[in-house]
Amino acid sequence: MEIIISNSSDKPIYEQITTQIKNMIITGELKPGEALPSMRFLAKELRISVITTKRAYEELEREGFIETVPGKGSYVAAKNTDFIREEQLRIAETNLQQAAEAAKMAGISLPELIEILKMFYLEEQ
Amino acid sequence: MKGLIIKDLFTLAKQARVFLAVMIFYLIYSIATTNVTMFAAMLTLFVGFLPINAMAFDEQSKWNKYALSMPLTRKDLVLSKYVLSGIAGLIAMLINFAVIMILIRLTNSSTSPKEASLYILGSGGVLVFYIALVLPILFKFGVEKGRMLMMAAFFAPVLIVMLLPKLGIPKPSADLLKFLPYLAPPVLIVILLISITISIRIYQKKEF
Amino acid sequence: MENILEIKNLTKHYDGFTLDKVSLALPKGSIMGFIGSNGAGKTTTIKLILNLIHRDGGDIKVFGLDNLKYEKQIKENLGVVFDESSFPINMRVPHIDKVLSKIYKNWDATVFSNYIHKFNLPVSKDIKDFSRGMKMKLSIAIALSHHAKLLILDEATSGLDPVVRDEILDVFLEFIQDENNSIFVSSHIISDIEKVADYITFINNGKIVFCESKDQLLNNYGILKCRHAEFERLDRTYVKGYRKNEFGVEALVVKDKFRGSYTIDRASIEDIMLYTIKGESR
Repeated sequence: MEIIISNSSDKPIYEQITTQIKNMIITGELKPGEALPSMRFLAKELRISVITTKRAYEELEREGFIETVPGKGSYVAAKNTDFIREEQLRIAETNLQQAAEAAKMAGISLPELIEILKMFYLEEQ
Repeated sequence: MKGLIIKDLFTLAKQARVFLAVMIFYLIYSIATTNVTMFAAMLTLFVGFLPINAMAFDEQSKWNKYALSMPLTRKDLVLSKYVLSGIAGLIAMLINFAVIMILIRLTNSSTSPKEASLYILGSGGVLVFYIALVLPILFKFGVEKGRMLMMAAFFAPVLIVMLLPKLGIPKPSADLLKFLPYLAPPVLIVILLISITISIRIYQKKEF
Repeated sequence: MENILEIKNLTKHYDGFTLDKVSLALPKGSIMGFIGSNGAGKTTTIKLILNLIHRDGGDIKVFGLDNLKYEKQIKENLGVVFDESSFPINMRVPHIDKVLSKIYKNWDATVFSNYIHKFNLPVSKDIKDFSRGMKMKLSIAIALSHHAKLLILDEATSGLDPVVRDEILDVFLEFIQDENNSIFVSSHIISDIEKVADYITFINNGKIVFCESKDQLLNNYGILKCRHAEFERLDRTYVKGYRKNEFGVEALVVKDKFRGSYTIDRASIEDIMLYTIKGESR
């Protein structure tokens, strides 16, 4: 498992972590039941505060992606990945709807919009 | 406190080696001239300077501030210097005694062991008095600033003895001197205890 | 216990400087950066925690214990590193090992030896031949070799080159892997602490300016850049300090209150410290 954080990004560090871990869980890179590094170890390796990693893990747990067993550690939740996928689909649909409306208002054509979507989609890779 | 004394011993070890060489020279000199006083005097002087040198090292490296961040109390720091002086003094007296006994044998001198031991105990007493006087000064002012005061303390007894006749106080009679061996120890112990108490109080108040 | 170090209303008077009712709390298992300019009161505070100087008022609790009543007990579990190495120059590492084994109940010669090895410290050289970096590493080795639960560092890394500082940071991060361990580090070199600190306490002129979680600070504040005219229109309650130049104004602000049309950059801890000090001088 690899995590890259940027100090100069607008996104808070804990959010960068949650996003990357979520991705890995959804794509199956992290399997259900798999152990995550301890908060302290992650903080040490990434050279960030333990409070940051703690917050990231708490958020992941709140959203049902991981489970933390006190004294043992954190594990990828044995969750139904379909459910997660549906969640993300819902978020994507909402955002796309907003994008479509904004585009129409600004007079941006559909092909242009698709180009922009392509750019963002491929950039993440 | 044990740790502190060991530290002092390690720190002074280098000097001790040099001193040892000097002492051996004086030992041979004493045997050659059948006069033990130089040897005994040098040994006593060395012991007298021991706590001062140890404290000088401490001061130079700012050890005391560091030591107080450890489970060591200010009382420990003070007592360790007294104990160090005590141990060194005892060893010095034993060595002096041994050397005198050897010399007496070698020279078939008329000095009896009793006389010799009195002489040594006497010098031991002076040492105790000196330590009791000097240590509080050093604890209060440090070695650098305390040097002047120490010199004064060194010469004070001599000055007092010289001034006595001028002040009209008669020199102690032979009778009084006979009582000295019995009076001195308890008086010295009291002086020592007062010195320790004062030193501890000085150190408790000190800011590092 | 929750807070491994708790200071309440700590006060100390000197001629020309007063440590004024300083309060802070360090939760167990965290790293707290204690920052401030030279002379702000950092060393005074640490000396008071260690009882090197006498306080004029206030309470200090370490490991939940009063630092005056339980001084010796507390110091058994405290690892302290000052900015100077205080070993008599004649001594060598094995001597120091011996001495400390008689001072600390929990002295661990094996752990000490491992650190000496790790730091490449010479075993047969006198302390007087050690470089500054070596002396510092020695102090740190000592602080970590008696199972201390709290490390207190006073300007321990100033005067060291970045490579050494980085090595040392690694050692501290390793130390904090055990959640029972905590670190209280005071420094005016903030970059060291900035990344890994959990909490930051900022002291200025003997007073605590803030004592907060670092993430919160970085999330709350930003550097707003605008023209002079725009600046005059800003709600000053949310401006913590500012700097005017010929061509505009830079201000430390509470980010959320100024969203929208302004350029707001990330504020580093150092920025927050500088602007806060500047802000106060106006």
